[in-house]
Amino acid sequence: MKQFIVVLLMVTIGFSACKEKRIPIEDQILKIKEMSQLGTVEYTVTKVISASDNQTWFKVGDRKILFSCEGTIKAGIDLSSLSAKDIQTDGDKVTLTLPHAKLIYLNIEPNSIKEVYSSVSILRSSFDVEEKNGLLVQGQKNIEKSVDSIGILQDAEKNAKHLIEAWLSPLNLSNINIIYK
Amino acid sequence: MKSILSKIVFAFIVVGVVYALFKFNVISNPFVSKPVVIDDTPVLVKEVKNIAELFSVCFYDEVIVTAHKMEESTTDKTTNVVGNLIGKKAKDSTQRELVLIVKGRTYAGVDLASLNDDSFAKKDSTITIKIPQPKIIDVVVNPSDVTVFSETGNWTNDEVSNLKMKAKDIIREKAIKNAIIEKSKKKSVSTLESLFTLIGKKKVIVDFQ
Repeated sequence: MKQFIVVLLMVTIGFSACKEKRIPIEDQILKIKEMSQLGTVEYTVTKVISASDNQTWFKVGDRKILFSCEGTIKAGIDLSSLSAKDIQTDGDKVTLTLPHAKLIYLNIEPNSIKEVYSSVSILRSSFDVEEKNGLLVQGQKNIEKSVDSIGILQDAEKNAKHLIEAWLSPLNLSNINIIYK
Repeated sequence: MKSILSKIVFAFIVVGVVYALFKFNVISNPFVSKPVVIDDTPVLVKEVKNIAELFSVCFYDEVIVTAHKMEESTTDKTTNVVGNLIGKKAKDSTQRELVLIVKGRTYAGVDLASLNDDSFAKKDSTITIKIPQPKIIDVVVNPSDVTVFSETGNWTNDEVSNLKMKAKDIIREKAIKNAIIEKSKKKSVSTLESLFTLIGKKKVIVDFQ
């Protein structure tokens, strides 16, 4: 019985001591990447990022913080995916099939982020830089998710059509039909 | 003796079962802080601008930036109050440090918004396009690109923003040193050549203004 208890103890200690610590490794290679994206629209967006830290039962008092931030979103079409089969010419008539517009990037300038309000109870510590950045990351993801709903991609496609038509008209290609895949 | 042993074994089994329940997330640990989630607020569109920017190169980089400042800790403040009362010299402030690992992307390309009819010259099946010189369009450092490696003391939002802006400047400089403009020039030419060749022009010449 004693042996059994010793074995049980060792297994329990071993089980808790051998907890695997996983360090996230970013699979990102630093490099120069060539691209062929035609940016056709830029949206400037604003967002209020607010949070209240009052959901943990054993922490007495709460903390609140409020940021305002501004970001620019650029969208356009990827010209690198164009191939010969996407362009059909018939005399002066050209039918160009373009890929659908996509987000090129969202840029939130660090100095556009303003901490507007912060309130911390006496028994709590104030938000540190890491916590604040975590909240801003949530705000950033929120803006990225809104890309489909604010209509930027539709505007990008419309502008790309006008732009390419304008470029081709001096080449006596006035009969241009631009469609999206 | 036997009853004590059976109680110990029973206690171990109970501990083991509770541990397994936590381990496999069957029940949540009540002593873990709940994550702070931001409120659901709308994204407002402030301005819409039509652009015509040909992005031809993106340079990815990662830099480490550090800021230092002298700040009194709570202990220092207490020591100073006591020191002032008994007439002793106040203790020096403590050095505070903030170390950020910042990933950034530098985009370079050509602003084609100024292209007009005069920018295109056509002769038989050859066209010449005059475009502006390539430039760095943007350096992007978003909150998700920033990792706080070390932090001691209190840092204001402006101090953190300044440090991130410093990182952006370094990333921009490194991109220039890595010949981003020259690469952008080459790639912009090849992109426009491919586009107009596909449309049916046998020869495309791209000139920079």
